[in-house]
Amino acid sequence: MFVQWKKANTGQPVPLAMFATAMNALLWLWTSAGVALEVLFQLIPFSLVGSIRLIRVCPEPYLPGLYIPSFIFG
Amino acid sequence: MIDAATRKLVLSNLWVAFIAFIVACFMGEYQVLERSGFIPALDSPSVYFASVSTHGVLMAFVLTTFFIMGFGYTIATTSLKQPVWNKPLAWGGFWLALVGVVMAAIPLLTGKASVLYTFYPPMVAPAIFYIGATLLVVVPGSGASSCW
Repeated sequence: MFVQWKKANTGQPVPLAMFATAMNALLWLWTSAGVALEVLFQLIPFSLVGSIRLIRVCPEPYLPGLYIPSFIFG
Repeated sequence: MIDAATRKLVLSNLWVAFIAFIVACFMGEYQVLERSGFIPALDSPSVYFASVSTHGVLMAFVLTTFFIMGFGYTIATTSLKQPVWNKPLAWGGFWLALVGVVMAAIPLLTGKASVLYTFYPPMVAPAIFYIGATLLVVVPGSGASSCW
């Protein structure tokens, strides 16, 4: 609506209240993106698998092992 | 100035916001009573923390997001003197956010998501709580972009 109004009223300043509302929407948009990323890639996986331990996977006890997250083998 | 359809959209958002607010207010009263120790029958850490978490989510997310949506539509229509750009999108945002509230409310009210409203790890809630909270927070973010 901001852009539509700007196009229809070229050169005029947008009403202050609308400017503030639009800027608030913009702030909300990019800050909620951070929350969404945290939830999608950290909290939901964390919540689904429980606490994550690293398990040492190595066929030979004297060799350096490979550490993998516990949820891979359950 | 505001036509009936926009009024309905705005008021639906504001009603949800202020119902959440009044419910959270009573939870706040309960928390003070619980902590005061005047009523021993109220002593229950698990109910207290479930209540604090629900109170926080209602005040910080439900009230703010629904108020922003309702207030934003009001300002956009009155200051620019034109109708809401995309009504189905606005209603879709309202309902999706409401679905998020219900999804988050189920584990909150059953005491399974007592992670406080900031939900920082290492406290963990069921995934449905995170999905609901994300819908609630992200939908207005993208829905309010109809302001553009």
